[in-house]
Amino acid sequence: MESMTISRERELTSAAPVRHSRSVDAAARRTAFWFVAPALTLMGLVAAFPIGYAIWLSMHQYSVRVSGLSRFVGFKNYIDALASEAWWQAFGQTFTFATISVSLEVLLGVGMALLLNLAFRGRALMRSALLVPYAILTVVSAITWQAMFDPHLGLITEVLRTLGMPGGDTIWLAESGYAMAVMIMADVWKTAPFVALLVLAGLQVISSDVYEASALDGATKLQTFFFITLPLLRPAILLAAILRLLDALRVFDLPFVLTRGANGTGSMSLLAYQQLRESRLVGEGSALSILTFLTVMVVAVIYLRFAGGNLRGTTKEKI
Amino acid sequence: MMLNRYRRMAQAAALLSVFSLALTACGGGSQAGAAPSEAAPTTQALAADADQSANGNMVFCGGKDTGIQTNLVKNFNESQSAVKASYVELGPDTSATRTAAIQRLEGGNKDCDIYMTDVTWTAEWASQGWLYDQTGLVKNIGTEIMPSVLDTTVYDNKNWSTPFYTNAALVLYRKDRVQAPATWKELYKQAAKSEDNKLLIQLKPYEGLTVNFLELLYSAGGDAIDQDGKVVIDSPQTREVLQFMRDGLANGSIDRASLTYDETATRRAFESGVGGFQRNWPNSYASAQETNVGPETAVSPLPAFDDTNEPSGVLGGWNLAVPITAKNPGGAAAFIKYTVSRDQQKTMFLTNSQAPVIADIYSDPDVVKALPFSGELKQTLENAKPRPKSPAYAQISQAIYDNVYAVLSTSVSIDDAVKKMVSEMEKAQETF
Repeated sequence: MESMTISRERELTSAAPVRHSRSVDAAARRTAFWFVAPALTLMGLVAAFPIGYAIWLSMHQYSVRVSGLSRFVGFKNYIDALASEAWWQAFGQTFTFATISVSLEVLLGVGMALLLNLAFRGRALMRSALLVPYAILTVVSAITWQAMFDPHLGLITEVLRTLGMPGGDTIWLAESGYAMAVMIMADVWKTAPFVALLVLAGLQVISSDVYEASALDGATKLQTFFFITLPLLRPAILLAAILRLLDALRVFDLPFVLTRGANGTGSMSLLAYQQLRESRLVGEGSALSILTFLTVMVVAVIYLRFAGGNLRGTTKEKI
Repeated sequence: MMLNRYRRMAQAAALLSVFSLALTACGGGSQAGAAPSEAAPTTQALAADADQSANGNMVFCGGKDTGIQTNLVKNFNESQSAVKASYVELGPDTSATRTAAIQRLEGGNKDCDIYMTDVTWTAEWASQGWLYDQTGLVKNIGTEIMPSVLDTTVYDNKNWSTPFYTNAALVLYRKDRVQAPATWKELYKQAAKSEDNKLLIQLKPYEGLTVNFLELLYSAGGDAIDQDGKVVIDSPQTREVLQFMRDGLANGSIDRASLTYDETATRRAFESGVGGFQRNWPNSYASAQETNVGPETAVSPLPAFDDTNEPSGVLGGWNLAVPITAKNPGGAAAFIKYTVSRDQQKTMFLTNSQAPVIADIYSDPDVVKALPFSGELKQTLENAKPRPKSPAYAQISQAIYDNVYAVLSTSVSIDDAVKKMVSEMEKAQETF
């Protein structure tokens, strides 16, 4: 997973793409094909086969009564899912969660990156410490957040009560709105450092020449930030945002641990899990998984359509 | 150039989407190898004397080892030398254990000779044709198993497993704040009197909420699914219990934190001094004894709903099932017979505080001395009923806890919630 993420980043951030000219010799192309063939075969095995198999499952109904009994139902599972209230609820709640948490993560991540880019004592230590929340398993951090919001024994509710602030007597995980807020806090706490790290990498490759030039021209600090730093950070920010967005749209552990999807905190993956694993409705659950996958893919394609050039650092290219 | 661009975009999208499938696609794998067929599975019975001349290795599979499993295996191996038993953990909790076991059963794995099964799995596993019929063995066991407990092994008039140990909830209360409850209604009245008297229960939307709700429903004389599998939950009792729980939250009888609590969270809150009553499983008594509230904690059986009803409860606990893929069914039968022997059941109660499945052990002097609440526990167990028996139990339970939770946490009308519950349960019962 980790190495795949890295290779994906590399592909997205790589410098201007190589343009093939028509003069490329056919023999060379054939050689190239044989070079990529092993990789393609591997991709087919690890990606295409499971996807194809999940689609196959999603077109069937499997009996929960009799072992091995199944029947072909075509697109019925998809139609049922798209006609169900549960799917659209989970869909809406997932997008609400993803939009708010990713926006906060990007804002906070950029802020943290700017701070960490300053020269100060203990900067190296801070940079490592920053990664601690990201290194903690989501399930573990979800359990921790749940404990902190325990109505009687939680650290946060206790502090709020002691300070006489609102929220001390609220049962956070049992109220809609509040429950979503806890879920977003847990996600932002964990993944804003990840955004910060990517943005920090982006900051460090900005050449000092441009800053020197702008200083000579008499630009203020604010102008430098908005007209130099931010535009040059665009690829890094856009990359961080898409990675986070795709992750957030597949959120599962947080609602599973915190609320089991109650009080407006459902998610598409949680719904698919409940059908597939708990109720053992293999066909119906697979259809929900494929719908989740398609939703995420559509978001990815739209995003790349509008931000793809920026991600590859070729901002001038227009479609 | 345009084409290239789209191709690259599609490649990137495909790559990204692999990640989303990594989570989802693996779920389907559990059906691998299951050839579609219309034939109903044939039933195989485990011979009543299958344990005679048993020998060889016998593998016992189940959830996280709480000590009871390894103690049992050790005692069994010391008691004889023909069969050598060993224990294999399948998962950290009930739900993970079920998933892991089902994957093995569907894949035809032959490693386990006995599965430790939750009482709610009987119908599903039996109807799937995964288990030996143990009716003959159960009749030949020689000890009298409590009828309510034995009933959890029955589906379609046959015993598909043998009880291992049983469980039923109790009410723990603070002697310094409240009195032993006479009925649930009286308990709620006491609880509403003071901030310190409140009741802590499990109302988070999960299996625990289904159990909490059914305990009240059964004690009010209601039922969820009848003998013939018909959904009978749309009753005046259901409506009354739902209204009762909703009022309990509104007037302060139930601590509102219960809406986010499972058993562990309930226990922790009670042990830190919160509340007057706690509804929980028997092991929470031993746990409370180790804290400051220990000296003030007393135990009561689950009460009746009101003066016009009999007390009831919901049975928990675990059974021992033999899969038809077992390599050593004879060894499994010998192990099962040993597990339900009087001596072993008493040892399990004394060393691991798990409730025995034989009635007269509860009045054994050694037991009464070591576990002062054994009388209350036996009373609750005898009054308790199993959860609905259905191959689609997981869906039934979700239909119950989702809709009960909606009544407790939103302003949905009880009538609408009951209708939705019924339609979801009926849909589950009709599942292909």
